[in-house]
Amino acid sequence: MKLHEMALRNLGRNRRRTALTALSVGIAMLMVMFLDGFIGGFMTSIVSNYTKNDVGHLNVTTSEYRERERFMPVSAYIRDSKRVIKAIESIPDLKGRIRIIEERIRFGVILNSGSSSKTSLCVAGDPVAEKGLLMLDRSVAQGSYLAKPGDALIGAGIAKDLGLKVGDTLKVVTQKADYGLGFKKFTVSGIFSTNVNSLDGNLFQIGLDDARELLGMAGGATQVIVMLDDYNYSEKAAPLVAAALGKAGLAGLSAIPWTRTGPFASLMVMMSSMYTWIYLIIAFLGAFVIANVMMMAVLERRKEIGILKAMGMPPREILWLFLLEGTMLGLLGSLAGVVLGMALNLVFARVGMDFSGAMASFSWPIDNMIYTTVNWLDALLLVLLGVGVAGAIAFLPSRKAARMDPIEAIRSA
Amino acid sequence: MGVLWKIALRNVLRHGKRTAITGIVMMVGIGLFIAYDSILAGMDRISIDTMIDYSSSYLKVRTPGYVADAMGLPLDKGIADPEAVMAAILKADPGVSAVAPRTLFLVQASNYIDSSPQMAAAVDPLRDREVFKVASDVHEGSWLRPTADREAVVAMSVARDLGLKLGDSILLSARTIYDNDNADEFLIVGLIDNTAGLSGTGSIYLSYPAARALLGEGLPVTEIDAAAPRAASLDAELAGSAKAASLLAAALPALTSQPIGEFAKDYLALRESKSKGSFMLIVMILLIAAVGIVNTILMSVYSRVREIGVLRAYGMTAADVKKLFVREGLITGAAGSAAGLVLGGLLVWYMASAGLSISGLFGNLDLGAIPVNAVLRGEWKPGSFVTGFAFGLLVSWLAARIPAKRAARMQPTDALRFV
Amino acid sequence: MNRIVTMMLTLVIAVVTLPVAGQASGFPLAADILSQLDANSSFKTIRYSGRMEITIGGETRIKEMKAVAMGSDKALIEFTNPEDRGIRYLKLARELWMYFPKEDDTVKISGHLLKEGMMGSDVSYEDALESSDYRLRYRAEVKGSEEVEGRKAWIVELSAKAPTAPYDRLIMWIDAERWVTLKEEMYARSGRLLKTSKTLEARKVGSRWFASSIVMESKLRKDTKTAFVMKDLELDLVLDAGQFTMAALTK
Repeated sequence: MKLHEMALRNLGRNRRRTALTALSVGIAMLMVMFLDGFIGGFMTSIVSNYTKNDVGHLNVTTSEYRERERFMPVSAYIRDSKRVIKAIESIPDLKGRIRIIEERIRFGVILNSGSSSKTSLCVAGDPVAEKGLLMLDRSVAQGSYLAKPGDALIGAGIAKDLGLKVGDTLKVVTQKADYGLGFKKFTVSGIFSTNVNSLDGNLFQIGLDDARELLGMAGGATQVIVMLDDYNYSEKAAPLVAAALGKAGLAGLSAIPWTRTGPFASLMVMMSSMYTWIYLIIAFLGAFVIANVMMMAVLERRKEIGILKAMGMPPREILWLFLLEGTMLGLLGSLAGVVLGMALNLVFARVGMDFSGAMASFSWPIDNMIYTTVNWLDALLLVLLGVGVAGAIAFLPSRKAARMDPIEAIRSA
Repeated sequence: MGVLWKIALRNVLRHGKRTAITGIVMMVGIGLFIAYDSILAGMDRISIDTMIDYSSSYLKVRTPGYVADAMGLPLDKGIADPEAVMAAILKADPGVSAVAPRTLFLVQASNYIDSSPQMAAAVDPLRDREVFKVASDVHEGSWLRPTADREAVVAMSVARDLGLKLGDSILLSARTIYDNDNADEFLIVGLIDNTAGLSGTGSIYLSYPAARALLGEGLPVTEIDAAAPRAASLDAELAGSAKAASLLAAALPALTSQPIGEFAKDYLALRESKSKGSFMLIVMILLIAAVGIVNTILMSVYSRVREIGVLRAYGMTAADVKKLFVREGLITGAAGSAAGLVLGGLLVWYMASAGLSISGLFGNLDLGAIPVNAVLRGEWKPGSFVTGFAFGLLVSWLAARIPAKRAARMQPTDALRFV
Repeated sequence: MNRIVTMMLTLVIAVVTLPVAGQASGFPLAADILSQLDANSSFKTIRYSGRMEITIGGETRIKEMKAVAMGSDKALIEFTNPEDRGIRYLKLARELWMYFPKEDDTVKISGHLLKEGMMGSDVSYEDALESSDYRLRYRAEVKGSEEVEGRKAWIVELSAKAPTAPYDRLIMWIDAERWVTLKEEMYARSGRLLKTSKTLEARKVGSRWFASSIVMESKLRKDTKTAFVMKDLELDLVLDAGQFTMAALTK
């Protein structure tokens, strides 16, 4: 009889033990696999929520703008932002990876109403795209989100300071891209309240075309923001974008990944590595549990080893038999677990998990959905880990048992 | 102690190997859970600690006029008698260990070719190092001398942008309190890690004599910052700071005292949104551990079904057999959980006392502005020890109960035949 | 005269801080020179077309305007450069109104914004709207005489009486014949030279000489300067006070 046939028969003979062991291995693997996707989704959500208001996953500006970024020098805007978008969209490696690509202008303004004035930060982008970025539409407390040209969405703090209500006229003064003085009147379409002072008291959102008119720009924008399907890819994507822009003849631009946009980004990078560590610890725990489960299973079989030995089976074959059994069991459990985990990840990558319940107390404009990530490489690694651990654990005690005196082995159970 | 307990204990000890395997999986699972919970709290803490160490301090006292216009850094809204205020703070809250005055202002930093606007802070070099960590982040050179009136400590990034190094002079120009301009050269005596960028406090530090030479003799102290010994947990830290602020509000009604919570509002809001995800991770860790525990206990019960037959044949009642097996499970569970608490305690103790060096963890990572000497510290969370132990016991009880119940109901002959 | 330049500069949102020349009383000889200078540059009303070239770090922006002013309290400026064409500023005492023709609307800038630097510039409106008497602020001393580009000039040093003066010390080269400041150096409290200013052209308006082209240069940053040229300059003409009203601003 071939060894593997014998191993299979052994597994089939003690169905309950096989099922229990494989089930345990499987459930552990399923959870590790799901956590892998969940941690990925969790970090994606954190990184997206951090980057969406400002830099995006990839940020393109002119080099001149980049140098003086924190002063938001509107004059150094990208004239050809439409061509920039085209050039980025036609990069073969980024096909299907771009979730949002948008032109945006951030600039300082003086808001005026009657005799009160206030400095404020204006963010202008495509109102529809901004629903997925700034997400201020989720925090509108009065009135409604931007609907037509000339609409402005202001923070509750600004509304209070300037005594503005929905429907009122708001005057905006700013320095134009040509250093002239720009002026435009807006209608307050909505007032948002996030309960975060720095947003409510400072932020003011308008549509991109209104901003261009205010700033005296025929087109273009100060930034082109790209959100990718995977924030981890941004470091690799940035040079591709830079190369594509160069090839398209768009000179003097700077394309950087979110990880290079300042101290807070570095903190996020640190956090994301922290979660990698956490995942490794969880994977270790999974492996440990599998090891235990397998050890328990092998412990049960000492008597059998004794009998096989007494029947004259050579120790080498006994070893191989048990190794095969363990590996098969590990493979069965791991494969089932990983496949099920991946299925879960695929489902939740599509439908997402709603985490908004935890945030009922405030209306922070962030995405509360966590979409699990699907990492095929990690899945493969996990199956290998499961099989490896199961095999190793089956091997070590079996070797000991195989060398034992048969009588001892039979008695030891 | 009942006879059944004694038998259970003896059985547990007799099957040393099985017990050990079950115990180890419990130990590792529960230990990791405790450690993970601790490090998660530590990660939350590190951001707040950075604020306390570099910008908000434990407690910030300013005039109401200054607070209302804080973005404009109004130098005409200073604190009239800072010494008296500092004494009053120390008196009002014995929990405050140190106080220091600061004045923030804008300067143009220049090398005569380029200039860039920077946030600067006038500090009392000796007191400042008791409250803030900037002094200990001097990477090259030294911190300010108290009396030096022509020296500056500058963030590395600013010096690099201007092509300046230690020992060079930096030209600083600023609007004085007299509403005119003044400019002077300052010797760069120290370069600080880019912590300033992270904290948002300032990238250039001058002693009060130096700042007054630049901005005018009448330059007021605009804020008093306080420090307190590090609290055991973030919540305790926030609560302590809030309490100190309310004590001060009573003692110094003319000034505005703001606790950390005021400055960390945005961060704390973001943290809340994270908490559900973190909770999910913790639950999954426990579930993985549970798989191991349930499996090992199930296996050990099943492997002894034959024993049950023997016991029943000897006349033991089904109820007693069930009790015996459940108690064995509980003993194993208690031992394993206790071991888990010890392992968890050791891990937390290590992370809380020694801390995990960030540069060690992420050695080759370009961390930009993260303080190089930052240490991620675990937090002691008694709650997670209780949860861990209770969880261990509960899972072992459940895992032992189900097969024991079934086995106890078996006919002795069936049990004896059971493989 | 320089005060008007200052005002104009700040009103058009220059991004450089600007010199304000002192007019002071002092020792006999210095007092004589200064009173001549003062008599020469003071006016009841002024009208001109101006062109300003603001260079910051090598990058130049141009502003052109037509301006009328009455004393130091009332001024009306209309911009004529393409970017700002038609925009008007009306300054009345300590208030500033802006008028935008396209939208036919006005904005009043007041309160703490007057103190804050305007749009990233470090010039505040308050600088522009301050109408203090510099005569009281400086002590003057004649340091000698020197030829400046072929013209004989008195070197006069002004030192601040109080730290609130715009500059701690000023050295002026004053044309001995025409009583026009040919050259000026502005020093900070630290003793460091902040800026220099130079008259490129002086014109005869009626019976007096008036500096009509000036360039000011920052000493703290390379390639940072402001050049200001006045054309069609008229002094002490008869102006209608009605020009300086809201009605006139929006007409």
